[in-house]
Amino acid sequence: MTARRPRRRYLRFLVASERRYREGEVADAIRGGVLRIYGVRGLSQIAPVLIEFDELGQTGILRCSHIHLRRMRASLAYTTEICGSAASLRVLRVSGTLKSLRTG
Amino acid sequence: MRKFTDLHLRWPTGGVDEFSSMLSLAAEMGYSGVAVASERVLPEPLRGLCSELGLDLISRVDLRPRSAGELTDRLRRVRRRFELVAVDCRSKAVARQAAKDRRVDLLDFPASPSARARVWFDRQEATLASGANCAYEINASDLLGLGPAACAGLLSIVGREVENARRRGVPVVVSSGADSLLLMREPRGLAALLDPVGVGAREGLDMVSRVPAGVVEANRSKLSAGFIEPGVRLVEGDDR
Repeated sequence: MTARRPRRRYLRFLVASERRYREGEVADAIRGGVLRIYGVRGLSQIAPVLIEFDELGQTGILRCSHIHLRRMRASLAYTTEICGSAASLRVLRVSGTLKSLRTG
Repeated sequence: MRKFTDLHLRWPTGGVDEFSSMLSLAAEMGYSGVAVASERVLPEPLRGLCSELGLDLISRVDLRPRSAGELTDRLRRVRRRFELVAVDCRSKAVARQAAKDRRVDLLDFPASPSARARVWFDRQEATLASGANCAYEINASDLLGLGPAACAGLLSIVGREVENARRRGVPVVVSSGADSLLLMREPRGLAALLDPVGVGAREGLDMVSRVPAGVVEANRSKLSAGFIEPGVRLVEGDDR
């Protein structure tokens, strides 16, 4: 018997700050935010993955476990700085598929 | 569909321009109403901007009295001028007086965990607040401005406060308390902030939609011309 693939949620988000960030910096900030609030266990359950990040527009798409979407939102909301400078991560839209998030 | 309300925006250091951006961002994030803590009447262009954006602008005053006597004195002067009256409880005496006074709408407590350990929303406070229809307010900016250790300490206290409010049936409101664009959060993000202290999804969403809307509605009806006392209002009938 094969295990069913866990369901996911995709979040389109915006980084608001006075400076611009690179993809790696944003990915670290997202993982760090989850780790800070929910610890290692939470990080393994929420399983955030940065799918893509547009460094020009400072927007990106993030994937997480659908059960823990609220925890992902909380972790993003608690983020107040990235690489030592003030920033906030705003969720623009949430979807069950990447396709609808990219086209919508 | 839920209508979200942020009951606490603070006047920013950037002045009118930054505040206009904050109002635009609030509308973009999906809020339908915002309360601005200011003792002055907002400039006409900002009022115009709110109606243009479809935002319900709610007037609010934050009182920071040093004694219970000063609180009652200030309440007498401001109550009918503002739709919302919030009290920043800096001492136990002020907190107790504010919780039992029907003219107070929102109770705020200190942001620093050490000060909050002395003056907080304890069981006695919750009992008084439930009798006076006061709501307990949690400002997101208090939680966001702290380092990890202090944030953990404050979250622990907030968790106990929410539990006290639940037991006594005191309404809980989550507001941003933002004085800059970076401290503003979208409604669902604001609701999710209390997830670490065990506030569920629906309860969290109510704290930024149904509960604040209820507080504003009740106060507007109190300030309306026909209001006499809770449960009694003047109804204009036909002249017979």
